[in-house]
Amino acid sequence: MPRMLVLALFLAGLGLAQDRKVVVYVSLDEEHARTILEAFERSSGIKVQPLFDTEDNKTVGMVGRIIAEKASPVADVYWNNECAQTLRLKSQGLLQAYISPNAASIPDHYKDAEGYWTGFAARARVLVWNKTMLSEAELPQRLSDFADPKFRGKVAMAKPLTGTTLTHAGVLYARNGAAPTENLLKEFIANGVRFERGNGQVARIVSEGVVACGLTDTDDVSVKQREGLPVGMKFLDQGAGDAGTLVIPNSVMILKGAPHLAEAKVLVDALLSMETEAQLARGASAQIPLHPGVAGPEGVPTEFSSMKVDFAAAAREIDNHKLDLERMFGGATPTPTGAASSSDSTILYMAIAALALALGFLWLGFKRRSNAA
Amino acid sequence: MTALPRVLLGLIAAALCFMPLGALLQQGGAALQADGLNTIFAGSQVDVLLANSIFLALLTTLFAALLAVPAAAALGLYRFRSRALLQGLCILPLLIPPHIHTIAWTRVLGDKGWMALWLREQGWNINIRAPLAGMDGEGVLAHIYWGPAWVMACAFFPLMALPAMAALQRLDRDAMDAARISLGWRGALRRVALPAAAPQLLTGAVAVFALSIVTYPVVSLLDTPVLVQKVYFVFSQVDQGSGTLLALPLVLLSILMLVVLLRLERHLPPLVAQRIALPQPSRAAACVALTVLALSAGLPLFALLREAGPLALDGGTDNYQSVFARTGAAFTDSLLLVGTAVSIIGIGALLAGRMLAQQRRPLLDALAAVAFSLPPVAVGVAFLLQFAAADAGEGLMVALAAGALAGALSAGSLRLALMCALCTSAACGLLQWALQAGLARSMLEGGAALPVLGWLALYMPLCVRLMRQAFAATDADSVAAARVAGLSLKDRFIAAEWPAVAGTFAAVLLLAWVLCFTELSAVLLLLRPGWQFLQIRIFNMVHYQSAGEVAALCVLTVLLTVLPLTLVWSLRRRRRA
Repeated sequence: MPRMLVLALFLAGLGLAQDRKVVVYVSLDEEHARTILEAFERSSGIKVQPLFDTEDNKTVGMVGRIIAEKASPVADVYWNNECAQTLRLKSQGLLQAYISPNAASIPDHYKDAEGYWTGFAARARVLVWNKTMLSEAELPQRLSDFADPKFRGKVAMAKPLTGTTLTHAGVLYARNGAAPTENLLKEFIANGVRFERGNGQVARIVSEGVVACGLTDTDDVSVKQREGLPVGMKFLDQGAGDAGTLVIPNSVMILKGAPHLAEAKVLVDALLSMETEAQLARGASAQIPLHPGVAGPEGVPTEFSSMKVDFAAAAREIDNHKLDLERMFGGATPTPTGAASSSDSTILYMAIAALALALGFLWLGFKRRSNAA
Repeated sequence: MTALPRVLLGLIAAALCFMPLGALLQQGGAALQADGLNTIFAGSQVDVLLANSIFLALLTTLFAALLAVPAAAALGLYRFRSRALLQGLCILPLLIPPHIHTIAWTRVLGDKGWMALWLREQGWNINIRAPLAGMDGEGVLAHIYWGPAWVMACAFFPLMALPAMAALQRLDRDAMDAARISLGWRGALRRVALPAAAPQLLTGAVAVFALSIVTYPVVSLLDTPVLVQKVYFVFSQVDQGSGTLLALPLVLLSILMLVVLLRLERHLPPLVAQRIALPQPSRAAACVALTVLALSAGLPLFALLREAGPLALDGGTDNYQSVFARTGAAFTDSLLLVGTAVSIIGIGALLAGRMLAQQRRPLLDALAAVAFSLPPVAVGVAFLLQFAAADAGEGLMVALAAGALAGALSAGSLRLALMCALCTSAACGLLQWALQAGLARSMLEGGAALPVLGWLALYMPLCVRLMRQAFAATDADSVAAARVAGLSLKDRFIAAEWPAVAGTFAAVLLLAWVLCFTELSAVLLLLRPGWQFLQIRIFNMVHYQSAGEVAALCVLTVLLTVLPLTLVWSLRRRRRA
């Protein structure tokens, strides 16, 4: 019997061996990325084995996995939906340089000079607003307006612990410094900004009218607009002297020690092609192309003032302030100080005492009944 | 059966159960040395999260009792038309995965749920995600998350209702009648019926508590700040050391609950085969049973069907067709993965159950408890770690050593203990070699083995335990008679044992099917590149896909979960006829 068990496990494990394949970890939303990968599989004949991130641990989960697997890499390619975490991987020496010929026309500040990663198909951090709850004149004009009392309880954003929101926080730390950024986040908390798990949820609750507006990515707004929901998209910080809107490209990279290097290069070339960017722009994810000459997504303005960003500095700041953000947003409720109040601790002891008492009474009652029987 | 195969079998089972624990303890110890508790727990509000977890589990148990007691009383004590059907339907809430329960209740009582909107018009501000004090509330009420508690109670209350119902059906009808005449209806219920079902209710309550404290998908979808969510977040970054330390309170609480459960179980009266005279007819009981079922399963299913929209019978495309076209491969992969796991669990439980039929209980009970009490997320990470590096064999060695020790202690004989030690060394050497020779890579790249192994670790001990109980209850005389008659082992099994255990075997297969098919927490971390799993597709799609398509996929998933049960039920009816 044990032999049968071992054999069955071996067969299950080895059953899907493929000659030409590429393993890709993907942090872009599964529904958007799967179409692209399936098209690549059909056109190239290379079997793609994707593994997708979940909304709960966007990007950081995949990066953690890649770091854990560094001794024996499983994935060949990582398609990240942002680039600050990509730089963390680069700093740990987990990437392999490859300069794709298809990346030649992508602007230099969206790709690594040494070829460790290349940006493509960007998203902007925008305001999503419910047209039935606010008029265009009433909207926040810049990110700092979220702390304005007139928007108290009306705004939502994702917790800056994962994905593009974490990148956004890193960029703010890098541009404005630690104290101003932390103060801004504390003001958001104090003003009743609703912190969600991810950007998708922010767009959802705005479209449902739970809150009037929120900070999210262009693709999340686009999905809701395509569903015919009454939501609008606004680029923040566009005034004179404002920093501009943060644009975050997807980034693609080959992992060091990739088991299928040749196939990985073919996939990276395909992802960096103009066709893929056009497809991502046309699709529900409405990504903004970085190749000049590729038509932008419908409904997303292409002319806007974008923020000048040093992603490497943002990545460093994420590492420096990860624990601070975790203190503020990783607990039961977002809290400016990060410390649990004494009443919260009292609740713990009350709960444990209640549990012990309840169990004790139940046990005693049961024993009494058993003895009587 | 000789001792060696039994020891080998025990070692494999022990390795499966102890490997996650061994790997995690090893990583947790390393983290403790490296970072210290302060760094890990700094600012994490772990105490508040743990308090929330306990409150949530207590509230879930309370809600489950509120659903289970009336349902058990109505279906166990009274007679009405379609009683058998309603008794069968009582298991339906358990067959709907917790995350689908959550999605469905969000459509009812969520921010924009139809019932929440209606209640808001009546002046009641209800939101399934908010604690009792509301989103901005303070004080104790701000830590009482009734929404996830209600959802989990709807999913888990049959664990209390079904055993209590069985106890009430065995109740002495004359005593109940006498009590009703002298004490009235309520008095009889309070003084006779409830005490008779109290052990079963208590056992069920402990099980509900233990499950609700480690269930991840519900609290994730409703964004409830509890410890298991934090543990998942930390584990998902493959920060196994911190994750382990954070998970320890949950593991200890669950193990404590399961120890209580096992102790309680010993006091449960044995199952009696005979049926007692027909109970009293009652229409009110039918209404009560229907109400409970409508609340726990009917309303969520109705919400999903309403959201999914009608079938396009005119040739157009409905949500079911569009979502099936999108997720067809997920159906195939899920069936393949779960089918493999169920087959291995079925065969393994049958063989192991027969071998262990005459063994002492404590070892198997402990194994079942340890396996079931680990948060599935922790099991997922442990397996991931185990096969993430080609030289990862230390956790396995710890596990095997722990298993061998447990086996030796349980067997209580020097000879067996020596045998355990020998087998452990040999198995460790073999596995170490296999890992280094490429087994790790095969398992990681091939795909199917890792989720299947995870499910085996979680559910195999429970299934073995059920089969062992069935074999232990077979008629020893008929087995002995078959042996004396000179029948071979195979014929003896077919003639004397199989008829007695066939029912349990079918139940074990169905149980394994439901548990594996609806599991999400472990598979979320264990699914390998290139594979899809239906529950994960639902879990991801719910954040950005159209509500109609998600609801349609949920309905299809529930149908697929229920399908094998319906097939077995109809086969059984045909056989009886």
